[in-house]
Amino acid sequence: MSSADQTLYEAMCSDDQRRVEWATHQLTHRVKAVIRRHVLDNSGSEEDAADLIQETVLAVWAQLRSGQYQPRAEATLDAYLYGVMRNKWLKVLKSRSRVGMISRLDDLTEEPTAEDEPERLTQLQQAFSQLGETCRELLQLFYWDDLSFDEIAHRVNASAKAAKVRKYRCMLHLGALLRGEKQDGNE
Amino acid sequence: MRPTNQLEQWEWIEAYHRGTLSADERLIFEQELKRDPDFSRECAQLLAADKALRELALAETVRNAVRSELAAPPKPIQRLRLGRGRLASVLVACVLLVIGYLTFSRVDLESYRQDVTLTQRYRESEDDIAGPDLTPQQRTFYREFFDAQAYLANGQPQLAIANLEKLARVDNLRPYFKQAVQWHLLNAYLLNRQPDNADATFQLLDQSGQSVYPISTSDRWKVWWQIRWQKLGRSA
Repeated sequence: MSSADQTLYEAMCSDDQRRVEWATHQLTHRVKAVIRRHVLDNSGSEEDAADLIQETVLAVWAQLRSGQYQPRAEATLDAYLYGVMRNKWLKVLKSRSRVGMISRLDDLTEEPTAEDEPERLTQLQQAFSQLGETCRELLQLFYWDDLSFDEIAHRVNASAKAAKVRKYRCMLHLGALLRGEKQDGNE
Repeated sequence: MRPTNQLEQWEWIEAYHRGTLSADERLIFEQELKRDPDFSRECAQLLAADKALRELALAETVRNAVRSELAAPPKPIQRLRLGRGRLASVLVACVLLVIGYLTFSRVDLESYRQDVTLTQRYRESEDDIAGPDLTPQQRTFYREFFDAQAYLANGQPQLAIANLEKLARVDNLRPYFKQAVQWHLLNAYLLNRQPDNADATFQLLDQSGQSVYPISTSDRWKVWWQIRWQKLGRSA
């Protein structure tokens, strides 16, 4: 792995949103043209290409973060990402019943890469979507938008203390969902 | 001591997970975890939710970054931008460069260096060139011509002119030698700063029909320009 790949890898695995954002931009910029060309050359549209880039980068990020992908000296990050991309596009084509066409495409060979579905991420998203809308909005304001409790209180038309209590209750609800526990009806 | 207020208790749990509690407080916290299963469950739920929400927030950051990168217009190809003033300066510089080249670059008669070598050979071994095939007139011509070339090479154009003018008056020269003599004479006039004579010779060459003595186009332009440049310099 080159030093540029190593820097990108470390930034992608970081908890710092700014570093992750920078690394995602870099990685997307490096691979978007190749993925786009691959999709357009293999029965896909511009929209398919945009979706595939989005899904591929997200899946790779999840795999890097979870430790499913281990950096190796002989393999570049781009090559790994292209492997994930090809598998994903193959699944899309199969789901569209174009297997006959696929068999004619030499480069669309399914490689034994790591599981390319960010399964854990899907589980988290499913649990989050089970929360009420108020909870989702409040938690997004805190975690996604990084707002203070005073700002959140203003947005949700409540006191800062009430917003804080509501946030903890929502978290307990989400935690219970994730742990498969019965909730206490706190939301 | 474990807080009794619910909100403070949640904040206490959060502080434990962030590692901001003192050693004593951590000890009390961990004792409470062992002692109170409800407290332990709440603690685990908050930790799981916090980790999940951070993960989801980062995933959203990744999605937004990809969207933003895909929406970014392709970088325009950098083109050399020249303002009118700069363009004019570049054009003036180019014109000056061309004028400088035409004015100061010497006319390179193609066979010149080769002929100088021949001159040296002729001087080293006069017998070679004065062989039985050459008439006395031809022998005289070659001697005069090679001498003129030697004078030009040595920076003595006035001596070369004397020889070449004499040769230019010979009538029965073949066209190649006639033009060779005229080009060398023209060159000698220019070196000797005699633009009118050079111009007259140039016109003679122009009128002599097909060019058989090899002269490059750039050299023709140089001659044309240097005649005008010298005339201009004389009148100024």
